[in-house]
Amino acid sequence: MAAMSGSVLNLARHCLEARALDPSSAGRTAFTFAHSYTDAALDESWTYAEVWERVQRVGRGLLAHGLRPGDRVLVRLPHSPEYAFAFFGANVAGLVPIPASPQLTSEEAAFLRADADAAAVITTPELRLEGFAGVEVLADELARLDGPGLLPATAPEDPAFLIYTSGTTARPKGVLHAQRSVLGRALMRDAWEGFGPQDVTLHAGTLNWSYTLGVGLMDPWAAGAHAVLFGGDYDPAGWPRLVARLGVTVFVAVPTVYRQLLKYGLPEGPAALESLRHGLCAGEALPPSLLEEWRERTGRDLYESLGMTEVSTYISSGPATPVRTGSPGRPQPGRRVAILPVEGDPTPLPPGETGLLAVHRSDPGLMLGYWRRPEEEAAVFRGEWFAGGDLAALDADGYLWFHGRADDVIKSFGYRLSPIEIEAALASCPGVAEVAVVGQAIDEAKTLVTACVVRNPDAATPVEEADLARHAEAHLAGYKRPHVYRFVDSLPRTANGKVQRRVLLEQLSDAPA
Amino acid sequence: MSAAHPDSSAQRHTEAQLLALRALYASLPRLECQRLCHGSCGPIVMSALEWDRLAERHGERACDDDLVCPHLERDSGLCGAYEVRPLICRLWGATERLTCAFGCRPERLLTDAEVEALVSRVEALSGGEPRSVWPGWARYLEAARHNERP
Repeated sequence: MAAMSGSVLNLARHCLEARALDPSSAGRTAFTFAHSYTDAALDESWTYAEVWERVQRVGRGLLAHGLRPGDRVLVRLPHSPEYAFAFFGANVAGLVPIPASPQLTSEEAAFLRADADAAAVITTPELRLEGFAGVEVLADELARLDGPGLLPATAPEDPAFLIYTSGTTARPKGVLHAQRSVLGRALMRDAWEGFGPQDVTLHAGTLNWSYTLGVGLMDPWAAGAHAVLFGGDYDPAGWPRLVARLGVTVFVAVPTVYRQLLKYGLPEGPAALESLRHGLCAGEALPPSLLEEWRERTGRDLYESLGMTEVSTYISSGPATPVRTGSPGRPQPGRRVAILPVEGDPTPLPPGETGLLAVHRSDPGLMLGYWRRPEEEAAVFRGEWFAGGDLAALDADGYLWFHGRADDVIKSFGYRLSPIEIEAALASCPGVAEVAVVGQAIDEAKTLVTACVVRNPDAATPVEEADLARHAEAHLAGYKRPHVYRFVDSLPRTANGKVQRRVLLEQLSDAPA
Repeated sequence: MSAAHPDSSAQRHTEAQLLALRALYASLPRLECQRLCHGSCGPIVMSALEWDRLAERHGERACDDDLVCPHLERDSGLCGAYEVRPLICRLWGATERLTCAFGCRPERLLTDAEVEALVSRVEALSGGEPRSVWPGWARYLEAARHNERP
């Protein structure tokens, strides 16, 4: 494949090889996996040369098992350094790693294995798939893995990895990314992350997530930085200790982690995060109140980015794009982003109008397609554009204002309402800790806008329905105001911190009114 | 990580250079060797970095007049410095120009362009003049230079 196109590109090689073979950077630390926030003796670290050597050996060892370029390899491992070596090792051999969460049930993992027709599984004795007749590689073998063959050349359009997303469908679908996706990531580095060779990055996520694989490892490596991941017992108060211990300059997490950090983990005073230059967040919308509190208490910026599994992040604030509260930022320079009408001819809408957020098909970060899901793939490619179902508007300055998922949109009494917009308005009501808004269908014709509110336990007086209604009146047009307020103890969230509106709806319909 | 240095010249190179060299070696094909090709173990040439790495473990050795590599264990026909053998030994049998006379072949032979790229990478990594187990190498090199620039 590579020979035909004449062009050679491999994601892992692109991130690692040049620095690994350059004596001025080969000996620099590329990767630290901290097993404890405080105990340095439990850290595992590798230089650029060591990571590259190990990744190549794993790749060659996988090929020696009889696997061939293009074969899918399910990575079902706990969050660990081996996860990284398995993922990048498979990629460098032209294989297609599928990062899976160790939390998946056997049934869910077996579905991924079968759906992807994976020829191999990299796993542990505890997580092995019963009845799987293909190649099985255990985590313990990875350190010794090697093979005699040459690593094949891969081309920009060759598959690089396959990542499953629950998305909007009942069964997870595989998003197939190309080796060229690493070129799309370079645009993120400049516009959002601001990573450079002197940086020490700390990503709070686990490696089964594309956010962690990308922003936690690929991007710091491609920038020559020192990438730190954490795999010990979770404690929000631990992050500042780890930041101080390793001199972390950029912290990366989801808004939920920032929220917990501010609530339970951040010591008072300017020295708390002394080494930190800025924070990065993605995965869910950053509530303006959280951004303000973070800036106030740390004196640092927090750059948000909007992305999706199919393109990674493409809209962001960053060192050169000042934060505008409530907006995730502007399209990253080098990307073609447009707002398309929800239905009909895919001609971009003018600034200010809300429609489907779309990325041009020429974007190097865009997926090759959905794995063996032609119908779902046809639904997201519209002419020259990929539109994944996010609703948004671009303002005159190019900043993006997010209005939720097209399928989260509440159609109530003839209006199309964005839950995000209503949530943002209610979140600023005193006494509200968190809020999620859903459309509850009470019969075929009527859908009520229901706001589910988590009270702030520290508030002087508990917020009541009348307070919320008054607040909505002051901040929202009449048709946007919730019809029903419900108080809940917590909001159902995914492992990545996203509010699960569907689960919330089910809980509401199960609970007495 | 390293053992004591029997020769001080081994300290001229940094740990980073050695790490990078190992990472580069990790990309090379390997053969299922039949241990028949020791007749090819001659007056090999290597980068200064590889020379130092070899010398650190096995001392600075030189060929006898028969030009057999001083690291070859003549009784067994095996390499006495296999773990730290230089690029030229790792390429033996693995490239289009250095095929094995006894039929050992990797899945694919390296092309001339790939070999040139590897050699220049090692040279760039190493710096300094190439060295040889053949003591006449330096003189040979000098003579060759004079021939090039009369």
